[in-house]
Amino acid sequence: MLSVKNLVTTFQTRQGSIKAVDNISFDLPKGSTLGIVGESGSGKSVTALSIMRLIPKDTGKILQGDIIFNGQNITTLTESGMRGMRGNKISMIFQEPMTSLNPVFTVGNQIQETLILHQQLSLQQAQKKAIELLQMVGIPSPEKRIKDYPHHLSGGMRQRVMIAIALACKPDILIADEPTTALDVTIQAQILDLLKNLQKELAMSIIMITHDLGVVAEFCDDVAVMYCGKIIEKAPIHQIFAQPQHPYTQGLIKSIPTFHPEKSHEQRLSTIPGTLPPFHEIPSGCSFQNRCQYAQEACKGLQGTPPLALAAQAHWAACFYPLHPKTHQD
Amino acid sequence: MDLKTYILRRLLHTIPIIIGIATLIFFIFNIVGGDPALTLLGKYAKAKQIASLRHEMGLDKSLFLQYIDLLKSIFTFDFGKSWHTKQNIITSLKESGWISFTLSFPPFIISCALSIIIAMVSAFYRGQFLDKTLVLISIILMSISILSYILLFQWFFAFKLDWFEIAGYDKGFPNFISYILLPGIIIIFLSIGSDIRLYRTILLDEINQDYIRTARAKGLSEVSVLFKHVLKNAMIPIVTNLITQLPFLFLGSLLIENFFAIPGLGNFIVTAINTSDFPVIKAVTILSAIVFVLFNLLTDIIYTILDPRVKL
Amino acid sequence: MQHPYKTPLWKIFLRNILTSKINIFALSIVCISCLIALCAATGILANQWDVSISDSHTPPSLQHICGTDILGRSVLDKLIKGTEVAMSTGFFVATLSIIIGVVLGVLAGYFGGIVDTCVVWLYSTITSIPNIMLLLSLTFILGKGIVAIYISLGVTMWVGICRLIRGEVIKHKNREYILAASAIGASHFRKLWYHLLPNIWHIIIIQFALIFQVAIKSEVMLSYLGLGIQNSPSWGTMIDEAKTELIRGIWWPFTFATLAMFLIVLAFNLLSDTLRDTLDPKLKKK
Repeated sequence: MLSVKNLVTTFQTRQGSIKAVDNISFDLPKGSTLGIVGESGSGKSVTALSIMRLIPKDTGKILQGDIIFNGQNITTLTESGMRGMRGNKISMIFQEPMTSLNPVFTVGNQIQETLILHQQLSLQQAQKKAIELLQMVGIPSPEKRIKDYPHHLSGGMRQRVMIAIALACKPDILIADEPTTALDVTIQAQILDLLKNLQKELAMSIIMITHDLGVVAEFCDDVAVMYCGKIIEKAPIHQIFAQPQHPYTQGLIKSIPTFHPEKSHEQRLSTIPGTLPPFHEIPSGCSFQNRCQYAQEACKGLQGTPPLALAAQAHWAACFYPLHPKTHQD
Repeated sequence: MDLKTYILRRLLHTIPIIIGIATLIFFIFNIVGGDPALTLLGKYAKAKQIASLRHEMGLDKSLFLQYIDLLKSIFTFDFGKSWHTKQNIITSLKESGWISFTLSFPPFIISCALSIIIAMVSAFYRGQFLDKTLVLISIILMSISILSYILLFQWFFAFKLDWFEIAGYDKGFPNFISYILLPGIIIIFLSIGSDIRLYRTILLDEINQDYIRTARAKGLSEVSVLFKHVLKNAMIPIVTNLITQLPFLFLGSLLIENFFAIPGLGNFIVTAINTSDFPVIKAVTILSAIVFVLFNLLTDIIYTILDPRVKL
Repeated sequence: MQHPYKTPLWKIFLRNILTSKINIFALSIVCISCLIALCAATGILANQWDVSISDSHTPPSLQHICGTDILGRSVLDKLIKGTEVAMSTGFFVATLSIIIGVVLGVLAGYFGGIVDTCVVWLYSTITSIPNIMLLLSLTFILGKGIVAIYISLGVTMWVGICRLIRGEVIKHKNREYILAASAIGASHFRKLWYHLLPNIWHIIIIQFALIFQVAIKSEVMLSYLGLGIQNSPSWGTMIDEAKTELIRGIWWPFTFATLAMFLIVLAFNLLSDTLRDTLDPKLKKK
């Protein structure tokens, strides 16, 4: 369905050009869900915007790589061809439901806009469809709500409206960029349930971008972990939690708080020391070396950057010393 | 709260401001300003002359009574007569204010329309060569002195090329049009630079908002993003800004009207300055301030109507 | 709370200036003008500006690069003397209005309550009076002369900066780091000086550059109305005199004065733009 190959996206900054996304590849089969996990600034959102071709033109560009969607390379599509994809075949929802809807248009107007644009519906048809869509995303009394402005709705309701807009044209792929981060925990669960049900109903693929491994565990089939613009580990969901290969992934999993009342006084929550290095200060060799407790001489650049290699079956990791190596012969 | 209560409450808020204006003007003219009778008659005037003039102006009253006189004039709209022309000030202001308005309104509209279009172009090509050039041109237009514009345009277009009247005015439609063309063009040049920059900033503010990204993610073209989503949001601050500028249209441009001998309010003020006509300057200052306060109120009301987010 | 700036700002500013040819040009104009103004003030340059050196209205030539005026005085010397007037007008007006604006803005924002109400009332009143009318009333009352011009312009222009500073102080007052400073018992002065000032000085610098050029432009208008600077040549009076000269073909005093003023105003406009890009934390995020 979607396959990204060797994607590099660069941005111009005052310190020079940086690679916000550095040579990443992944596949997204039809109907499946891929989670992209990483700290803020690791390049997850840029990956999403690259697939949408929404990188700000004045500072950023896709330097190389292919994004193949249904056999078509969308990096070479014309701008108007790409517009036919956005919101139609590939949709996106964003982190900030409070600010992602235009405050001066009604909710109905903003849903109808997509329908009129991509499906050439008349205004009446679009209005009818908008009510159906609001019903689909679980908004009560939709025929009243379509006349509301976004500020009349709560954050969770707005995110439902965003989902309605994104799914209006039954896209093949939905990119969800931290869709639940800004919401309350109970609302988060509702939104994730809604997305799961709609995924089955519409048979679409989802790219779920998040920093929350809990969301990934609940929602995704495969996971890609990003660090400093690179994918450092990629595996099916159960494998990554059972046997993480990269020390960074292990650190992320260990830092998920768990609840063991009998042990809480003796067990402290583990953390990863240090912070994500700024893009112009990424060390040569493994970009995680300065924060890694297992780092050795080979990680410091003499043998180059560790490539993303098969560490176990269907389990890729960019580390010279994977934690649970298994070869094919096993 | 409904709109009526809101307007009423805002009207009450303007009262301390209007009293403040009166106090400030009183302070400037009646306390710091010295004796206007002396200024008017010169230092060789006889004591008796001065005394009678002071009486005529009401200056022999106590400061408190003078202050009350001033407050009274605000609410009765009676500012007395000009010392210079001996005419009723309000009548003269109405007449000359209207002339100023007919001079400044058309350029105001043209300048708005032009600068919004140019700002849209600039915002569309943001960060690129065309945008940078347009910004530079607007800064250049802003940096030329108003007097240089007047002199240069009059000398070149009216004197050298003989396209326009050099100066003067003729009352009545359509005679006056030929006289306000050149001053009108100068007014456009004076305001367009800062307008373009202001509108460009407003538009760019909107372009960087999250909901514009949503609009692009829907597959809308950059042109429809700009004309539908950006412009409708940007119109709120733009319209607000336009309405606050309206009172100044009646005030006119002092230099332009004086220079081209157009008998508008600006020219009226210049004459008052040159003849030390205190009551006129006082009246114009107070009245323009009040008009400004009322237009501010109007702006806020229109803002609450335009922006669906604002709740009363 | 993390300190807002990591790299020293003057370094970023200098880099922004030096990477653009237009900004280098603007900065050099300002520096040269300051130098000329200082030389004229100390009498090194143009101390003989009021001496007639040639016939009335001699056009520019190699001998008199900018020609002479009606009394045969050198236009170049008058321009230099005018630079002194313009730069000092800009400097004093900007300084005065910034002092008034910052003091009132900080007091209002920091102490709030009745102080705030009074300051807000004062500036709402002053903004209600059209700038030009207030300026005219003040110059009219204070009389002619350079100090009167400084004061009336300064008193008219502090409102914008006061409003900005007040807003910024209110915004920062309740941030964690100020509350933390209160918690360890810092004095009002210490909180204002060490904690608030670093967060508002970008406004002060940008406004300084803006007011500087507006003051220079306003001086011309006052000159035209006969309320300008007396006894010393200013660009305003030079342009004003041209209203009778231009038609007779005497273009040089007008052209050079216009050009001089255009250059300095342009330079300040460009610099304040760059300053804004560098210093405004709101713009930096984008």
